Amino acid sequence: MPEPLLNYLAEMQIYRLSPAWAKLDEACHCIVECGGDWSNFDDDIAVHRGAVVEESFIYLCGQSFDEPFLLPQMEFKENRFTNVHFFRAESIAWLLFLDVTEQTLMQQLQQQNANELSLLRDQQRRVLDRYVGGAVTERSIEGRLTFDAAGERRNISTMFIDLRSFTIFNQKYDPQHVMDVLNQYMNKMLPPILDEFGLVDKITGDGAMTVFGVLNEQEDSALLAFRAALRIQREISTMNDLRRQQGDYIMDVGIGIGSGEAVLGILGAHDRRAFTVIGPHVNLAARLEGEAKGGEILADETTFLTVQHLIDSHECRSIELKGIGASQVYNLRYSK
Amino acid sequence: MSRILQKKVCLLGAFAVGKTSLVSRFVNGIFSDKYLSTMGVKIDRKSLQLDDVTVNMMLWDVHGEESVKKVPAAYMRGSAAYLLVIDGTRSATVDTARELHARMRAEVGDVPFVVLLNKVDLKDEWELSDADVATIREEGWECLMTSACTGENVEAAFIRLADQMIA
Ligand SMILES: Nc1nc2c(ncn2[C@@H]2O[C@H](COP(=O)(O)OP(=O)(O)O)[C@@H](O)[C@H]2O)c(=O)[nH]1
Ligand SMILES: [Mg+2]
Repeated sequence: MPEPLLNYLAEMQIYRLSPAWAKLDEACHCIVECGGDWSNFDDDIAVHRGAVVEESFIYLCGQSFDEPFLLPQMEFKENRFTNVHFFRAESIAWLLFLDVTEQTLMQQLQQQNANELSLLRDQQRRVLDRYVGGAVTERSIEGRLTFDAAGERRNISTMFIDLRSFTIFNQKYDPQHVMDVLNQYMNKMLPPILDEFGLVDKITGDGAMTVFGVLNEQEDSALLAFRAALRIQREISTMNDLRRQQGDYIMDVGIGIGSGEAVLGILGAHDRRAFTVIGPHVNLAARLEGEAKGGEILADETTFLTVQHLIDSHECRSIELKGIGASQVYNLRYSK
Repeated sequence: MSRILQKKVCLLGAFAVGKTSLVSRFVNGIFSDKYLSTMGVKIDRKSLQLDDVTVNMMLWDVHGEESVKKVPAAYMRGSAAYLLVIDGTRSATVDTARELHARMRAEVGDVPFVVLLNKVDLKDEWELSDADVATIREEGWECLMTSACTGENVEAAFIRLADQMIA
């Protein structure tokens, strides 16, 4: 790269980091020389020539200067993040403060989403734990899990959702960006599920398995699942219209719903417990999701019969599902 | 003769166990139920007067430990003491505390620490049973049941830590 460009870029980057620096004496006891805008990093920081390191940087008390170190994302004042570097170059000891607020706040958004989702799932598991409580017994025999025959049986609906073309997308963009977009889509898909009392059983990178009719028994589980599915498709469609206008990459969602009797159980050792459902319709629902094209909601017959009065039209086809056999599949048509 | 000590104190634990809330309760006397995930380390200060000793605590409120985002060793080094925070409503946070404890031991050695079983105001919803708590105590961990929400035992925890640091 030509030198003027390199300099230009370097200056731009350096400007963004608004560096402040201090040259320390051999013993790292005093500041020999310093520069940059220290007030940017901390309001009551007192960095000047001749100052004692320990007094200028009180929060570094206990810090050893024998080895170079990097303290990332230090928040000395609210919402202001600093990377603190210490190193020796040509036997001179330097302390360098760099402002990384912008990047950090962007990461925080994602971190926040991820943590909240994780807390939510934890909470759902606990609710269920208490709810099913003794009704479901779990037994582990030589590592194999079997359910007590008297385990809790219920009529539930299972819904699988999946983002189409995520794989291609994943390879084309940098991971940070992928996470961002994925979060945007997840944020559209989760609220409809929760609003219909759906339990999020598994979240795979680009989809989820959810169960309806466990937390809410007042309404038919198929209705709950269908309402969630409908809202997801509509919200994703609206978001995609917007993204398309902006020239952004878009993804569609395929949904499969199955309903029927299932056994509810809690699997896993006590601190890693997760609830699970086992029933023939669960596998069927997963297969339906696999068959669904972007924007489609595919349902099994039980689900279809419950929700048919709510849809504009449907298309029924018989498909051969491996391991399940010929099944009637209903493509539930809805207005956008 | 009076002494003034500067001490670095780390708060460690899984995310959302209440580290930031405990510091906010201790330093500013306030609590918010809104969750804002901590990035990196949030630095706060608070002085405690114990007889003729003033302990200036530099509080390092570290981000939550996660399998994909471990607490860097650089944050741990130089700590004079630490608080291990556990969320009583989430028993998996005990494992995280154990892991962090082992790493602290490796980085800074045998310095004082106190274990906080937080969110005791939600005791009804605790996943941690009395037996679990007993097991933790049997390991020789000094535990305090705290609540950043009501303030229960919060100051006591920091005082206990300071006591051990000056002993
Ligand atoms: N009820 C209750 N909630 C708490 C307590 N401590 C923290 N919280 C809540 O738990 C969530 C996470 O707290 P935070 O301090 O950010 O956790 P950190 O990630 O460990 O710093 C927040 O919503 C807090 O309001 C407590 O003692 N009782
Ligand atoms: Mg925090």
